[in-house]
Amino acid sequence: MQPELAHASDANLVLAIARYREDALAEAYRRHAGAVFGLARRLLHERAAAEEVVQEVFVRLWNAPERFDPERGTLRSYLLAQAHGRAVDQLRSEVARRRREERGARETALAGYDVEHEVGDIIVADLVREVLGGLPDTERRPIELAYFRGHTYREVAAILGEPEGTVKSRIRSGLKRMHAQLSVSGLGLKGEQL
Amino acid sequence: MTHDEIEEMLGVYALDALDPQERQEIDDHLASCPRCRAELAAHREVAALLGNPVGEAPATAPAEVWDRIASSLQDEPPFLPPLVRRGSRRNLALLVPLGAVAAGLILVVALLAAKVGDLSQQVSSLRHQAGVTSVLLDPTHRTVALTSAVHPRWRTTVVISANGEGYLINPSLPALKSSQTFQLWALSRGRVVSLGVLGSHPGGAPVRVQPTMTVLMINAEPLGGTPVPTTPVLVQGTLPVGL
Repeated sequence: MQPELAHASDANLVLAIARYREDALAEAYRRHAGAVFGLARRLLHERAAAEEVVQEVFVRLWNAPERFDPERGTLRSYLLAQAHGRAVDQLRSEVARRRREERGARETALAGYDVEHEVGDIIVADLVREVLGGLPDTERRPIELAYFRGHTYREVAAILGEPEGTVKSRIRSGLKRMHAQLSVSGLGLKGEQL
Repeated sequence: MTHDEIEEMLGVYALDALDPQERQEIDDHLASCPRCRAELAAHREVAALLGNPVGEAPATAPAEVWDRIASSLQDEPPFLPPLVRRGSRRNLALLVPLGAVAAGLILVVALLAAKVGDLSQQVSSLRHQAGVTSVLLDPTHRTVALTSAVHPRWRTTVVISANGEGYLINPSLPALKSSQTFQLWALSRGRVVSLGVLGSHPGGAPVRVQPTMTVLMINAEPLGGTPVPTTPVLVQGTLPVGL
C-alpha cells in the first residue's frame, strides 16, 4: 500500500476506490471491517454468515463507490447501514425457511423471548446505550426488536401484541427522541433537529 | 400511501423493518420529497449509531475474508473483440516460411506492448459504450449540455436515463497538464459533492445522477482528485427537474 493512504480521509479513500485502487479498499477494510463484522455477527449469530455479509458490503463498495455520499454521514455509518440491510435480508430468508418448517411453533417461542437479556449482550456505545435505555419501554422495545433482532414492524407488532400503526409511530417517535438527546450530547449528528 | 402515511413509516424504514413491497412505494415518494428525505437521514444517523461499537474493542474481521474479497474483484470485464480471426492463423502458417511467422509475431507482440496504455483506455470506453447506447435507446432519456460562459468551444453533454444512469459524451475541453485530471461535481442540497475523477479523456465516463442534484460541473484538479473543488469550474449545466 502506498503510505499516503494510511492518512487519507475516508472520503478520499472512496475516491481512490472509484479509481480501482485495491489498496484503498484494503485500507477501508482495515478501518471498518471489524465494526461491520461485529454488527453482522450480532444479528446473525453465525460466523460464516457474518463473514458473507462483510464480503458483500466491501465488494459493493468496490463496485458502486458513488453510492456513498459523504454529505449524508461517515463511511462507517454507510457500511454499517449496508451490513444491517444485508444481515436482515439473510435473517428474514432464514426466518422464512424455519417458519415454513415449524409453522406456529416459532411465533409462540418469540412471544416469550427475553429481549432485555439479548440487548444486554450487545455492545453499543455507552452513550447510545444510555439514551436507548432512557426511552420509554413502549418505544425502546420495538426499536430493539426491529434493529437488533431484524424483525419487520409487522412481526414486532405481533410479538408485542400491539397494533401495527402504534408500532410504526413509536419507532419513529423513539428515534426522534434519541436523535434529539444524542445531538445535545455532542455526538455531532448532522441531520436537522426533528 | 399519502405523505402522512409515508412519514409514519420513516422510522421503520431506517431500521430495515419494512416489508419489501412497501419499500418501493416509499422510495418513489422519497425521490420527490425533500422533507421526508431529511427526516429519514436523521433516523438513519441514529440507526448507524445503534450498530456502532464505539468505545469498546471492536470485533476483528478475519483476514481470510479480505483474501476472498481481493480475489473476487474484477478490474475490467473481458470485452475485447478477438484479435485474430478463427482459422486465419493456420492458413498463414501454410503459406509463409516459419522464420518469417516468428519474426512477424515478435513484431506484433512489440506493437501490442506499446499499445497497452491505449488498449486499457479502449477497454474502458468499450465498457461504457454499451451503457451509452442503452441510455440513448431509452425514450425518456434526457440530455444536459455542460457549457462554459467564458469559452464557447468548451462543452460536453451528459445523457441520463430515467433511473439516473448517465454518461458523459462528446467532450470538448481544454488540454490538461500531466499533473491534472478532470473532476465531476454536483450541486446537491446546496452543497458541492464530488462525483469522481474523470481522467484526462472523460468521454464515456459514467455519471450517477441522484434526484437531489441540480447542477453538474467539471473542473481540473490535481491528479487523484480532491474532496472539495480547488479550481474554477470549466463547464457546467443545470439538470432538468424530476430526474
